[in-house]
Amino acid sequence: MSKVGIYINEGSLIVPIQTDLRNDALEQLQKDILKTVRETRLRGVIIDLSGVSLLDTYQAKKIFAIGKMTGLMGTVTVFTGLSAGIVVSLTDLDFDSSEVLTSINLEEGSKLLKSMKGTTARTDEGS
Amino acid sequence: MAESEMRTVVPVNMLWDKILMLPIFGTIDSARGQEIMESMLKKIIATKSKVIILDILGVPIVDSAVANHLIKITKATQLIGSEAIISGISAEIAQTMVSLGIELGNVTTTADLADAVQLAFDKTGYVIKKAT
Repeated sequence: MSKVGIYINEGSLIVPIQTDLRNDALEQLQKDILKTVRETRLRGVIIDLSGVSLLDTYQAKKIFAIGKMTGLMGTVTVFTGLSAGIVVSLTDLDFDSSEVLTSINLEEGSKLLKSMKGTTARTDEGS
Repeated sequence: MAESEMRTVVPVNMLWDKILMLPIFGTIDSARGQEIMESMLKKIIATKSKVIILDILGVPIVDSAVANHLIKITKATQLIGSEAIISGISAEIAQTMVSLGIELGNVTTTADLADAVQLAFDKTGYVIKKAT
């Protein structure tokens, strides 16, 4: 298991990242999230990055890729709490964020997921 | 340079609950673009805003450099979890942008600030009603 806690709240998976992630930790986190998504029937995943102060393009690519992966599994991932500094540096580096779903904070992210309920619900009955 | 003296202020206004408005005047160079982006993002986080209206009526020319800065600003807004609407696209600017082949991507643009405000209200779930 990664050091990052994974919580299930109101049908969403909440992943608060409170430290700067090392690459191997990211790898483990990705595995843990996907495994949990597979095992549980979840409406969505919220990855809260408010505790992250630095995110290089490699890490950004890695972490946003988790969103794409859960998307393939029929679960929406929202990234919340990106700091202004991270956004400025990623934009300066011409980071392609067109497929990334974001919200300002955890609360807004949770609201966004709720508003998407139904349109994104998983249709398969198997677990 | 008079322009550099003006460069200290980025007037990000709170227009309504979760709606910000930022009028941009003069040309946008790299330094100014950076400044606008940083102040804007900080304000978005502080106010948890859903929509920010960038009014570029005061920008005389939109060439590819200026457009690039605008695209960057809107991308940053999207990345932080908000949405940008660009208002104040005059007929001249629309013509130059198209003839220069400038693509703003999927950014919503309007001619008047009024239309942008209307759109922003739609996006945040407010309805404007005449009290009669």
